[in-house]
Amino acid sequence: MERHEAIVIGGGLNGLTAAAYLARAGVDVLLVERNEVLGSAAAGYEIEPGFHMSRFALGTMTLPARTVFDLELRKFGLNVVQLDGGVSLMPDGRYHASYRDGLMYRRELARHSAKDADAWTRFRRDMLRANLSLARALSEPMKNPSRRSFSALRNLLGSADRLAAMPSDDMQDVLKIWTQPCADFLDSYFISDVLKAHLAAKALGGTTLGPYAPTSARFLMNMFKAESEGANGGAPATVLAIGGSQAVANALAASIEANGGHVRTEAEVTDVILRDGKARGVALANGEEIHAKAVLSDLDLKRTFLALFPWKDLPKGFVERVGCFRMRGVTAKINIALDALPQFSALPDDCPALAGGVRAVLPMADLDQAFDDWRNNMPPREPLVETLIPSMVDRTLAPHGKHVMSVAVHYVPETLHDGAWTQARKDDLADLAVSTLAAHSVGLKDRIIALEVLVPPDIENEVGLTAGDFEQGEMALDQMFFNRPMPGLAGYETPIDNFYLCSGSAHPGALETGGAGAGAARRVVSALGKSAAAKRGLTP
Amino acid sequence: MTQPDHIYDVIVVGAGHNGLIAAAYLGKAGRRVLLLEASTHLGGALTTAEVSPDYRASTAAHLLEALPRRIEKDLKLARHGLRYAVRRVQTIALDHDLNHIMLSTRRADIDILRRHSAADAEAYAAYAARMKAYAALLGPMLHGQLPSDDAQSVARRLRRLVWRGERMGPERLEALMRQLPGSIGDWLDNTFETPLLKGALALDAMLGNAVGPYEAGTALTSIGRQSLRGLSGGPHMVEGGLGGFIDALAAAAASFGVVIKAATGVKKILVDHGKVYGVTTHHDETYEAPIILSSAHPRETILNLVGAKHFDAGLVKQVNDIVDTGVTAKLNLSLDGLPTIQGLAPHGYNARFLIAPSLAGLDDAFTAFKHGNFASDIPMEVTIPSVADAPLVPHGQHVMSIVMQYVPYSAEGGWEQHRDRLVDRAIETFSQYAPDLRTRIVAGELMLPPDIERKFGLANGGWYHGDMRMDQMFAFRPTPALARYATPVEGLYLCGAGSHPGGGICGLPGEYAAHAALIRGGRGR
Repeated sequence: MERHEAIVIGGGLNGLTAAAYLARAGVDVLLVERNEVLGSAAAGYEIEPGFHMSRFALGTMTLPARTVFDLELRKFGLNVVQLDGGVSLMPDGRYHASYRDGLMYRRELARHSAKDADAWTRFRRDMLRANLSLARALSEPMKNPSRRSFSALRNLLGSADRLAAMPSDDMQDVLKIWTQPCADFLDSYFISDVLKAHLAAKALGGTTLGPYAPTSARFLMNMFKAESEGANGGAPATVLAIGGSQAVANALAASIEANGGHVRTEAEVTDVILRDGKARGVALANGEEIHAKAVLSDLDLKRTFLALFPWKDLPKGFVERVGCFRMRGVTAKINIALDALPQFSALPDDCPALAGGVRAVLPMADLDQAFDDWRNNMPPREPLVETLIPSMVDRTLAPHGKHVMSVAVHYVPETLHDGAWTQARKDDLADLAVSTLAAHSVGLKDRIIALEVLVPPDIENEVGLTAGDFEQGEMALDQMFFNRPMPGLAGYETPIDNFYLCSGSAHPGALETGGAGAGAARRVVSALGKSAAAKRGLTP
Repeated sequence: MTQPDHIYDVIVVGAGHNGLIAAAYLGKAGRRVLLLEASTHLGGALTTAEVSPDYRASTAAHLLEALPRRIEKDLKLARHGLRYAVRRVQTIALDHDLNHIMLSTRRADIDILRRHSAADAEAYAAYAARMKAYAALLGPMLHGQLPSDDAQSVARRLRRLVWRGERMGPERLEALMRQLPGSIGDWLDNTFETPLLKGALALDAMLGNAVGPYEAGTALTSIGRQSLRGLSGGPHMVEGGLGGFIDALAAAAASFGVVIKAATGVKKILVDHGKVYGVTTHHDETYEAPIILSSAHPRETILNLVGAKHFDAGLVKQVNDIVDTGVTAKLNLSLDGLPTIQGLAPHGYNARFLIAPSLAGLDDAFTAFKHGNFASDIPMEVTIPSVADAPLVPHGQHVMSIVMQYVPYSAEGGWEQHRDRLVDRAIETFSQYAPDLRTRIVAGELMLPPDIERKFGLANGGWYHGDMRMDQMFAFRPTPALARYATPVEGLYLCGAGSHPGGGICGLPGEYAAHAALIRGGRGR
């Protein structure tokens, strides 16, 4: 009978991060992954012999620098490059390039509006400030405000005092970024519709909100998350891992094993073993049983509780509450192998920003229309298309001179109002996306060697994300912070003793890749009563 | 030299209900108050006028649902002629299958609800109780006096909120934490199953707000409305329409010695060395006073009446950024008889009818609104005031007052080509429940958002002098620096719906502003 101190179910970036932190803390941890490659949504594949790319995610590197440092991922083969922020193309051919260099970017902004060039400084400062306070909030573990405990209450009163101590102008700034519609918020800074379309697209792509929806402004913060040393007043960088997001997963796995942890792929967990209401281990599809003092799930909330447990073993009414957790797919993925680098006629020759990705963006009203189509379960008539050509900087991905193009299409519904996603309709969507890009890049279609399109249901089938929701639960205010995944479950515990949630369905969710994994690991280490030294290892 | 009868302790600009209430409280406190109104009639958007000869109805707003009883008593409005045609107007959600739902917890009404769904009949009382509890918890914050602007007072207020929240018990607190930042749509979907019940409750919560039922913040809006109703016990129907309410306010103000001058628009508020000293009217008369309250939209007051040059750039920008969105149109119909609402008991006609068959329907209407259209089935709130208030119309005749939700400010290609279609859609929508409506119509009057803007000076036809959304509430309404009624210009105060706690005909901005002026303004001269 195999035994470990902790078992992590699922090898997504959160699961891997959790296992890596546990291993570093000296916990004997086993991570089991259903597929043969690690990474779940971050997994890569070979679309065509010699053409490697991230299959589900766009493929940018989203793991925060702190995690890379804590887990010594560079030592384990992670190699990261910072690129310019990419190019946004308007339907009418106007474009906006995002340069990291402050002076270059200022010139680019001034090309559209001199006023905006000045406003950018203000905008950037406000975004960094907002991120700072958010980072502070994320750094401390989430408590359940409703929990009848002195510490929880003190926590609440403390935040009440902190709030009161804020000057009301600052407080309103916080309220504005967290509650305003993206469009209104941008209007209060900028004039140029190209710039606003670019920022809205970058902020809202992959979210479940439109530009006019309340609380959509807060997504503008995210693009400044990685801004730190090296940033010099320009646009936020696009960060890539050499070898794609698969390389990130591999580095995490290497870190786990280097610290005495174990990773097993092609091992599907069918059940969590319960004894007198406590989790004791997992049962695998091959009938094998593995026991452990703590079990962590990197599956989303719904899959975790609706698939791994007999419902009768869950507390009364819990299954219903799990059912109320909103999960919705918004993104389709199109993977393309190209026999040459596409040219974009509107752009200056070998525009340096290009490597950061190309976005076909929409005027605000059209973006909102795409959003409403999604709400009505229709494929977008005019989609928002994000692309990345990582092979421009990463020669390991494609044969010399050839390229891979990673394409994300938003807002794409999981279910259609008039029947299922047939191959024909998927091809139509791919055509629409490719034509949207081809409008800016003549001959793109002729360069395509291979193409795969994945709509939300495919993503659910392949990686098990319910509804194909990459955020593992809508990042809406009522499903964030102490409400994630639901009130009373903040802090990674679940109604089942010894069983923890370490996936994106837990706080901080999509706010920080691997954040939930790290938080859950911290929680489990203290539950296992590891030494103070070990805990320190978790929080340098 | 200004003649003595042009010198006062306080001048109040604008005789909307907030201006009147502010003036009345100041007069009651012994100040010599002058109240100036540009239009020939008082009350702004609260007015009763002829729809067609001999048929009278409230022109715009038609119910009094948030006036605190305290104000009613303080100003002795009953003595000054405020009469209610109907107290506590019943709310009825009209049903295609004639099982109209009465939004109340009376057993008889719950039994009707049971015909739709037994589960909902069980759930409704709990929902109502929960709403009440939330309203009680958040009410003081939503429409109480703001704490004074120092960390200690704010902290004290917040700490009290935390303690009172704790006392609700974990279960309710958890539910509140989940619901408060969310949407009324998700809340209702997780509570009820009857589409009509959900649609009606959502419309009731959002009427007048330019938001969709599934948008964040709508849960808070509905709790806010609930707590205001708690103060007033309303909604109530006023005898003689809302003009009757204004007449009572004017009488009360006059009884406190307030001098009211209609048809006397203020052109400028006069400032000298950062201090107000009077106003000039459009007839170039000058009136002097050391304290001036303006019930106009903050943007109008700051930028036009006083002038941006008297304020710092940051404040001017914040005032410019205030968002107003028109989302309703008003249709008044003169009828030659009472239309027959099928399946409605005879005593039910003095109710308030909500037409919103489902959340999905509301959401579609909202989507259409966002893109400059209106739905074919228009969500609406309907009253027939003449049922309980016969003197409004010739004997045996009636007027119908319809508030349509999700009507955009500007329609594709201009309103002129859509006006008639909108009216037709509205009548068609209500005819589904009262088939003989069309045959009864003798005349009608439509007020689109642009009309409401033109007639009552409400920006974009929005009701509230600044949308009631999270970043434009509390100590941020209209802006942090102006939130406590006083302004950087000494002696100048804001007393309109643009100030905390905002719109909804509650009169509280007027009352609170008057108090602020009395405290800060000392004894006057």
